[in-house]
Amino acid sequence: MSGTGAEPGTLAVELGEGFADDDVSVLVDGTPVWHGDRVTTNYSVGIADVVRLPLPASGRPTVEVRVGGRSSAQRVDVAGTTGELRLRARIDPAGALTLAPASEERRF
Amino acid sequence: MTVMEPNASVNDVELADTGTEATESILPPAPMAEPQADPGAPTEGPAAEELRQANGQATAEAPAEITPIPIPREMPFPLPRRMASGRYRSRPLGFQLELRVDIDGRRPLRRLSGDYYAISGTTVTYFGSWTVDAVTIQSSSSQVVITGTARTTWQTTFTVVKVTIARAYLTQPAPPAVLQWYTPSGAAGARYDCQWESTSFRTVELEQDCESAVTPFVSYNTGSLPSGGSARTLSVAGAYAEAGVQMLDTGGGNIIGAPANYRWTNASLHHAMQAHFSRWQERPQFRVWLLHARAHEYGTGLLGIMFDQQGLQRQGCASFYQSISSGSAQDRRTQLYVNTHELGHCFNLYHSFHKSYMNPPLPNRPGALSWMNYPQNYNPGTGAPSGEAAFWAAFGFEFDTLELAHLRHGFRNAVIMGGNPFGTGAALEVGEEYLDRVSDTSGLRLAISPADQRPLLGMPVVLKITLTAERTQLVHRHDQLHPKFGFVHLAVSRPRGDVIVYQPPVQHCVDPALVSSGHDAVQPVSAYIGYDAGVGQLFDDPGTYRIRASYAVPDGTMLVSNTATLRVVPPRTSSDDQVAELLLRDQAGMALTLLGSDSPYLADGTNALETVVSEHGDHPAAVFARLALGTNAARPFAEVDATGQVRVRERELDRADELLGAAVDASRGDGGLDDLTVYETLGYLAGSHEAEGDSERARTLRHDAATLAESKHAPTSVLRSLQE
Repeated sequence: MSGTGAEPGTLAVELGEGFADDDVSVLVDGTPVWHGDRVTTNYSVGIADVVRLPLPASGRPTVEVRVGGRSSAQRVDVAGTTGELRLRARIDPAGALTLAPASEERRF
Repeated sequence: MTVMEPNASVNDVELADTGTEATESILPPAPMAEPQADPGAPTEGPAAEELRQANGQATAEAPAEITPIPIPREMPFPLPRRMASGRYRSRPLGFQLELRVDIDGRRPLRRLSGDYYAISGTTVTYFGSWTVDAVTIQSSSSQVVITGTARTTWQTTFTVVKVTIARAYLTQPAPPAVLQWYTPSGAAGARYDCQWESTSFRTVELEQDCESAVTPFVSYNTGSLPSGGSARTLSVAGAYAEAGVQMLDTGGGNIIGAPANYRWTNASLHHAMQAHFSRWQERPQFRVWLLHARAHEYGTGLLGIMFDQQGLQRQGCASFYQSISSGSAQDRRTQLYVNTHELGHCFNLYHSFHKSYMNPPLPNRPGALSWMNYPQNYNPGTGAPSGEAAFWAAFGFEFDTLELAHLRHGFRNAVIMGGNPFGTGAALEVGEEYLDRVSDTSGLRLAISPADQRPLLGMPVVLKITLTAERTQLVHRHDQLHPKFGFVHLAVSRPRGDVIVYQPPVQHCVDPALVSSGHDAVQPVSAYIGYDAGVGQLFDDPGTYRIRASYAVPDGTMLVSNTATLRVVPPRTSSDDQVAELLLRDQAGMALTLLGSDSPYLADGTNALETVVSEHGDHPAAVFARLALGTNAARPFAEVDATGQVRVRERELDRADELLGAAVDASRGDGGLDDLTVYETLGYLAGSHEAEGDSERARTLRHDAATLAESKHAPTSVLRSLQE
């Protein structure tokens, strides 16, 4: 876990369902900014981890999540963003990795 | 242990105690001597005695001088009957059966289930579970007969079960349940007379602690807001009582003083559980811990979590009140929902919309009106209203039927806290063969651990088996704890879903060598267990394996080990892939078991080992190939040719020195072979040199082994064996 709380100007990459002892990397514009090994989803909340990163002041950075040989990327527009911008990565039961915008919902 | 299979044999003692068939009696036998476990159980009063007399059953103590008053044989008004549903238990003779009957009462599922416990010497051990998914019920005024075919966690031909329970009035004590097993062709098996124990199918001890800044949830009136169920006041224990599970609040009530605005992490929650859960143990038990806390680091949206997913899982959970503590009816409803929901995870229930991620998977049920759904995810399909408002309008504050079946009748290890890992076996479909120690006063501890907890696919799997004697008694010498001698048995649960009782390819028949051990003396042995006589390569899939051992103690006690877990990781490089392909060949497994061979029948396996050494010499698996080839070179090999002539290949000690020396040198640190194998290898090589007359070289090797063992603080038994 890389941060605590929702702070202004942060990018939260939520690693959701489907992770099982995986090596996971998060990259911004091709630069690795976070790495975790043995990442595993806790299905009592559907979350393996929440990676929080500072948002650049402007621009449209590309956020990429790599899991083993799989990769999924999402371009985010930070213009006018305050608070937390959230993306959610998940691996479906067939093994497909997706990364998409998400909102923080109640989980339990 | 008097019998090995609880369904097969007739328990003579139980039969002798029973006397007449319970099914022939309108009223139950006289009250049982055993105390009733359920404090809510009705006690026998004068009305019961009257009823017994009314049915022609005079009591033995009836005073003779009183003139009997005529009592009509039929009651002039109908009295309510007792439910047959609930939990029953047989006496602890050989096997003890906990029986659950579910045919009437609240939301009857028309199921039977049970757990067996084996009584062996000084230990009580969980043996296995069974369940009948659909029963046939024949009910008369005198009895109810329930029949069906059981799924079991062990192999048995006695799968047809018949349970007979005499019918009783509400004012009478609960009658026993008489259970009889049959084969499908009708041959009778074991019979168990089970005394009624509780209206609950299971009883769980709940310990709750609270962060200082939090006012914990107590109860909610479900009529406060519109809902799909009747209005009633529900606590968490009440919600589970409606499901047939008794939650005994054991107090606890520690106030945990966390810093202001503290956000819990999963690690800090686990630590708090170990520190504050007074009944926590690293073993399966129907005990659970719930922490009422303020906030989690995942954010204000996280209202609860079952955080216990390391070691034996599902023993603790937490709810977070930061965003649901306004005191409004909505928040109190959410508090009830979250607390009940998190405890549901501890029973191994997944979210309604996550069932497809379970092992084995089930279809998701997003339209479930269940404690385990998310109201905002509710979607019954077919165009019906969905979402949070629709959920609350229809929710009756209960589990769905399949979850109810799991809570009441799931195989024990799939339900019990600390049993199967979260999500495994929660679909009522996975058998589990693991024996589980319930009580143990043997004074012995059996522990197992894999030499490598995360071996690459194809790496030989070596298990360290350690027996510790707390008090002085006779046990087998440490080398005889190797499974090949038959005193220690292993069960391996594989990721493909099967359970293998390990059969060593070569079994050694020996006279037991008993030694006196005590004062916490440790007897370790390491064993290669990668190749099985029945299934061949045992660890040939990536994934998680669970291993458990049992040891037949000389006094007849069956001792059970911890559960060891190892995860076989897939190849990461092309070299890993090639080595896995070589070492997972059938003959390679046998060649490793034999520590090498010249036999032409194992040529493919030997060639695979040679290839690993020559082409992948730096690979971690190469030390095992060198060990096998080097050990084989250190001994003569006798071969009988087609003419009957015996040809002996003499020791090749230069080759043995080269191969075994390299294997040992690669293992002096943390990697390579396990320490016990290193000491044994040096000892074996020393013996070979001694046999060829090179006593000096033998002394050097033994000195090397002893020095290495001392530096690694080897147990006394190992040091002694090296000296010998």
